[in-house]
Amino acid sequence: MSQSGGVLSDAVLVARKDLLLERRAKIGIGQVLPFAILVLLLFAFALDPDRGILKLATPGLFWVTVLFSAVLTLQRSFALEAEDGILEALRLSGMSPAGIYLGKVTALTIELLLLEAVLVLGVAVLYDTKFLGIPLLFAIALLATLGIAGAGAVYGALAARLRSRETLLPLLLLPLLAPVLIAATRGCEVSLEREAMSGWSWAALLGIFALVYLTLGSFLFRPLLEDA
Amino acid sequence: MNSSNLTETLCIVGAWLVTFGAVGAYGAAVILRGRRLSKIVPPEQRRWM
Amino acid sequence: MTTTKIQSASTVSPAPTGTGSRGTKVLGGFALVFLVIAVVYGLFISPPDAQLGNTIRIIYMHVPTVMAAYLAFIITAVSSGMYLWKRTEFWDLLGSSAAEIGVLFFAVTIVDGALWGKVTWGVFWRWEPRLTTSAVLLIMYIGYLAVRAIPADPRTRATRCAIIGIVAIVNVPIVHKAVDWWRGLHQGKTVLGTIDPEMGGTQLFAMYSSLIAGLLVCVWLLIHRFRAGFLAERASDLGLDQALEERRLESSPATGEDA
Repeated sequence: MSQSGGVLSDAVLVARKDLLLERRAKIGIGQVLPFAILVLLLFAFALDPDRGILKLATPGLFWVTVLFSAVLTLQRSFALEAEDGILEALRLSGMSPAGIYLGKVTALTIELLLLEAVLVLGVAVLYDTKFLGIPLLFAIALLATLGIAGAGAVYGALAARLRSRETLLPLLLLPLLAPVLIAATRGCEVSLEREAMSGWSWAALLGIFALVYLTLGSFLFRPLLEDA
Repeated sequence: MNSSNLTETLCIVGAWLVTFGAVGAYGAAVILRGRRLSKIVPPEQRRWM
Repeated sequence: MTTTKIQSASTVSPAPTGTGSRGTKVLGGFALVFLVIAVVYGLFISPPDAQLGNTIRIIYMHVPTVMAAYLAFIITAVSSGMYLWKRTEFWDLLGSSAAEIGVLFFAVTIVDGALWGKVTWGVFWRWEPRLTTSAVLLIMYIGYLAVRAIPADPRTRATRCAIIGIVAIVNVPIVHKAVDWWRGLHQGKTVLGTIDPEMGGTQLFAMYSSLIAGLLVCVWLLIHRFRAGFLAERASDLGLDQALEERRLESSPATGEDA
């Protein structure tokens, strides 16, 4: 493993390691997912479901819930590595920083997509949402999640070794993800036929965001691992 | 002078005061900090890069 | 103690006693001249705008501050990139100084925009694209300053900040686009969108002089802030040197007493 086997194979290795860890520890299923569903319940308490506000606001509430859950998932994923010095070990093992980054992003994306799948069911049942425009919904979920994971992995790694990471990560990450929240929410509203604008332009914006952050993260992960 | 004119005047004057006040206060703070630090740092290191 | 010794040494030497220099004084003088012109023309001589009325006088403050903020953030981004390439203290200090000044000007911009809104819309805040974008970007750069404030080894801290500086500037156009589209559906009067293209001579003069004044003040502040940051680094090196010296003395008490 001392020889770097290319960016992609490194990425696969890291992603598999992360997913294996998650499958053993079950923090996502045991803690993050119940938290996310709890947030859905809290929104219902805050916005009286009988007055229809809840139904109107469903896409926004869904994506806010995803963002909060993403912060928790990121914190968990990188706290593990920082505590055990895994990031250092990975770097010293001669793996390419871009590979490590893309591996983390892949694992995070898969975890978050699974979370979103369960949340969609929760929204459908709890908020009585009817889904139309399924292809658009899928595209938006995938691209938004890639963007969240792409930006999140950079800031997650950056904040991991700081004592104030619990407060710092949301402060850094959530304003960065504001465009993702806007685009994902509006795009979902289109697929629920509540907005006039074409949903695919929102999907395109999400795609650009994801692409920009994946590129940026691949380049920035080297100084990040070496010095930050 | 009616109340909308009063609001307008207050907001215009307020905007200028806030701008000059905030930037001025920051500038003063930076300069005072520089003077205070200059007393601590030995002169041979007080050269600007 | 040692500080008093150093203090007395500094009063004898010709080294600068603050962050000023001839350059900053000249620059500050120019800025002051343009500021006076901006006040005289912006508040008194120029007539109310045909469309905006007297609220154009808020725009005279709003535009220079937002331009100064963007200038500062661009400097932060360039410095962040240069830091990752060159790894010198200069780029780190320049970037973090500019970020602080950018946050200052951006905060002022938002307050000015809200005051403009109070006159124009009757409420301080509407989800107008430019104000919303500014609010998001402001919080993003507050995050930069929060990371900057965390004590760490200089190289580590500088790398963290450089990464945030680059990520943040890349996000600026994306936030712009997203917020524009978001509000594009129900667009009203905007702060920067309503300026009369056929602005009168004195109005243009007021606008340009305040814009030049704003940018000059920004650069002037940046130089002072950079030097203050440089001094702060030297002072903390000094503190570190003293602490190391004390620890050395502690670890070898016999020689320590002799010295």
